[in-house]
Amino acid sequence: MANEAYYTSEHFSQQRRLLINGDPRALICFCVDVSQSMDEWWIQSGGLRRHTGSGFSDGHNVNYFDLNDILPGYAHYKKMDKLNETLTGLLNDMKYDRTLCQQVAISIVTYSRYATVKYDFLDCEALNIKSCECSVESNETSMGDGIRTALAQLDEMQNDLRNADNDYYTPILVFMTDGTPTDDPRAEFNEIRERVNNKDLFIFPLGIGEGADMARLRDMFPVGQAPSGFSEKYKMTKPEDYIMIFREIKDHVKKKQIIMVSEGNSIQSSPAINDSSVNNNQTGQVVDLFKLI
Amino acid sequence: MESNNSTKKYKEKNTINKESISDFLSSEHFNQWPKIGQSINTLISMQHLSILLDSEFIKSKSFFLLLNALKQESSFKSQGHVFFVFDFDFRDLNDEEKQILNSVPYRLLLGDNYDSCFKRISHQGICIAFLATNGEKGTIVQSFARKNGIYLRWYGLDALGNLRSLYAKKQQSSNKDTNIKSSKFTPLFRITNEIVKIQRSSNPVYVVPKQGSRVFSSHGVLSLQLEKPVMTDHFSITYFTDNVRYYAKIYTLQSLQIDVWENKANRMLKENVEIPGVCWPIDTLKDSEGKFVGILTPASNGVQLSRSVLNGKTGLSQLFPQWDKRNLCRLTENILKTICELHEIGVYFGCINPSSIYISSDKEIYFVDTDAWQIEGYPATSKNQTFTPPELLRNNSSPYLYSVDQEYYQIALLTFMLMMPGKFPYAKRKGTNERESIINMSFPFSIGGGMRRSGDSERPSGIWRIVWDHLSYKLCYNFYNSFHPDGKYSLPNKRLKDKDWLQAVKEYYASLESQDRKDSICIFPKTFRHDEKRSFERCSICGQEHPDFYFVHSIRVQKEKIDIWKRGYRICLPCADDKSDVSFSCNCCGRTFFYTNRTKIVHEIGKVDFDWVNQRWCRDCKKRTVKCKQCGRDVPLYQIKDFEDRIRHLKKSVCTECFKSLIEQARYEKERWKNEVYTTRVCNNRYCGRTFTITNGEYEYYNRKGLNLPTRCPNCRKKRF
Repeated sequence: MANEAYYTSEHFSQQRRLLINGDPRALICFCVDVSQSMDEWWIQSGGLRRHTGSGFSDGHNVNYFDLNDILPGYAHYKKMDKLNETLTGLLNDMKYDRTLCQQVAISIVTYSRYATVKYDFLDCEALNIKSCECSVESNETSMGDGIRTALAQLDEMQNDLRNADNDYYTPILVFMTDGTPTDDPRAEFNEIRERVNNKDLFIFPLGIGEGADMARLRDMFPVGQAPSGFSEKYKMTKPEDYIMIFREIKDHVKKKQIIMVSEGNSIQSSPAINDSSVNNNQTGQVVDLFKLI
Repeated sequence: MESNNSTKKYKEKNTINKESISDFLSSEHFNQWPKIGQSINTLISMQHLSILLDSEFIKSKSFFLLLNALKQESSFKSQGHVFFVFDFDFRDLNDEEKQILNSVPYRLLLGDNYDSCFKRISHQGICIAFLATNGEKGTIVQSFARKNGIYLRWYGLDALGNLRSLYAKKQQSSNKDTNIKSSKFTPLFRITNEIVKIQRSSNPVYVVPKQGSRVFSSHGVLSLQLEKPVMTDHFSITYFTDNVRYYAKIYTLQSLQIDVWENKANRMLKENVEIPGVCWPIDTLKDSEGKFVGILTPASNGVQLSRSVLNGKTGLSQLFPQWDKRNLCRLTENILKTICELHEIGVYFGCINPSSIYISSDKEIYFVDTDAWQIEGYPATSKNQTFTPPELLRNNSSPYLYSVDQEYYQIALLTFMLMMPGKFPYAKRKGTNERESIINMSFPFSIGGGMRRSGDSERPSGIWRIVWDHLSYKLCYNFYNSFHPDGKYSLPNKRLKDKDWLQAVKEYYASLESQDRKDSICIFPKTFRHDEKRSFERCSICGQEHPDFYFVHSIRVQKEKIDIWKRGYRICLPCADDKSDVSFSCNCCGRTFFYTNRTKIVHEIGKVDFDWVNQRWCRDCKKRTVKCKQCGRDVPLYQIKDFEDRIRHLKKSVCTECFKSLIEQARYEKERWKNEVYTTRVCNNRYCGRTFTITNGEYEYYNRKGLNLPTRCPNCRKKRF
């Protein structure tokens, strides 16, 4: 019922912003795995003196160790900490980018046993970056619930934009997991594949850590549409992997946002040089003059 | 008669007028003037002529051709010859232009106007060649010169540095010579449906000049060094050059394999198009081997239209924060004027590319990449979805040459996107994409009460509804009829022309100038246009005035419609859906949710008139399901209860139904257990001695009371008491 309407603070902030700024929006939803396994450590190869034991947690085998057994000079981090660091870095970049800050809206959905909307959609400019940091929750990985919630978030925001007669770009889903699901996400994967195929969604499925099931994540793409080198490129193991991937996400957003929203997913011919300091006058697709020979 | 005739002849002899001046000049006089088509060097070398420079000439690119020619004619300076400039013209030049003028020897002709300037030199018997850019000015200056007995002819310079004629309007209309072409008043390029023949280049390049290379104009007059790139498209890179007035557009290696670029450039160069702001090619460019590599164009300035005005509020606030609606109107007017002029000479965009329109201010506009336009049989070289007419998308057709009608559609679209900055006229509905919205012509704006809305779109409720409201009726009428599928200008060959849009924008601008309401001048106003027919009220929450239709008038409470307007509530639509101060926290996820103001009123009225239950779970948690550990069904999380079996020390999460049945079962088991024997005893009474039982229930009772277990049977206990 419209009369029984209640929302989070972020939602209201965003509605007010839509009334003031009618610019098209690029929507990005981060769907983050916050199961127990994200509390695990990644240690550079050779950096651990010994294990103290082993066990089974959150659907997979784990080894235990003492923090004092990490050899000095070897990189080590908690997966969740590294993720938070890179995610907040990306959000900060977008928040202080003159063009992106008012035209990119972010939402964060976390999932472990259940999926929760941690942060409702809000323009980057108004984001409270600290509130975007995720923390580990329970020890299940309900991937299906996470995807469902994220897609529902995107649908609702697009609906709001339509109601306000604002335009929007094809939304982006950044899906992150470090393990295997404890529920059955096949229906949700189907839904994603269909949307990607219809060009209604861009997906960045990211695997965190060595245990990430990249074959399963590849399944999110329609047949033949997974980017080349997917398993290596979208698997985050070393610290620099995180930075690289998030930079790619930012570049993708910037590239899409430069094109007029009315162009949609139509073919855009590339310019003769790819240099952000040179004005790109190319809009749309070139006419193949060679065909006229 | 004879005397009359002689008088007449006398009068004719002594009267100087245009028609008869040639009677007094010898044939030598004519040979003293340079001919049209001759090089500027010829003029400079004619030392008996004084050369007078117009201020517009000094500001134009032709002046640089003069400079180059002067380098070759060293005798001009060495013999002490100078150019002349009107004193009042010189005062109009800015510092940069004066500095450029300093590179030639010149003298000022003192005076406040042409007449006074010429008066000072009238006795000197000089002949003046006047270098200008405008035939009308030439005519005016010549008339003053003649009035003071000075012989003056005026010339322009073409791109190659040759002298050319400049015609004034009156001369244009009386000129019967159809071979003489004017850049502004007659179509220079014919409209055709036939594409030109395109072939592989007969002399292709193998290496394309890059930054740091030198390129040369077609006759070697100019040699330019390519500096850093300034802009690019798929076919070319445009570089800054060592001459600030020019850019060099160099084509890619692949593009240069076909002859179309060179041929098109040559065709364009045959006509001297001098429309302000149009970066028409000045010359072709060649590499050191003399092979065609690109074109020389005037330098441009500013930012792309697509990144500024068409980037909506973000683009405008960053690049033109001081602009208001009048600036937008002026910009639109100037763009449309240029487009009209281009159409007059037969030049079409093909498919408008807003990334190739640069704006520095609302008056300073540059149309670059003119070689990408549709000119005669040369097709436009790019096409985009935004500006493609719906009928072409519908039929999936992609013509090489666009018709003028299709051009009119694009102009309508461009005008819309300028007047509603950055807003695309078609709305995406759920499940459709941008292409489909164009094909369906989902135009969401309406006009008046009689107009039907587009069936596919809801009436917008955001800022755009207000911006639309502030446009003039004529503009709204034109837009509606152009973009709505039922509109009378929406079909091919029924569309409004470029001049119609120009007229509408001019009228709107005039109306803005006459209005004193700040709201209509603001690009993104806060509320609707004030109108005598509308009554305005102030919102009790935000304090903003709005027309009464923009307020909530009624709400439904438990299916009953309540008129809150009559009850005195004054809440505008945006505030109705905004955050109130009433909230709840979800018992499941713990997040805090705020009701909208509309819902708050419902609750307020509800509490007065109806019973109401407070919210405990959010809608997300209500949807969340968990498997019941008892029956295995998926039930909403908030319906799950924890059942604890203390006897068996078990805890499980079950649904409410299972919880009830488990409670029932536990009660039954408890009853049964109570009635079970705990122990058997023999009655203590020596006269009874019967065996009796103590049940679990009895045992529990005595235990709870802190009493010892009975030693006598119930009968003996009864008799005693």
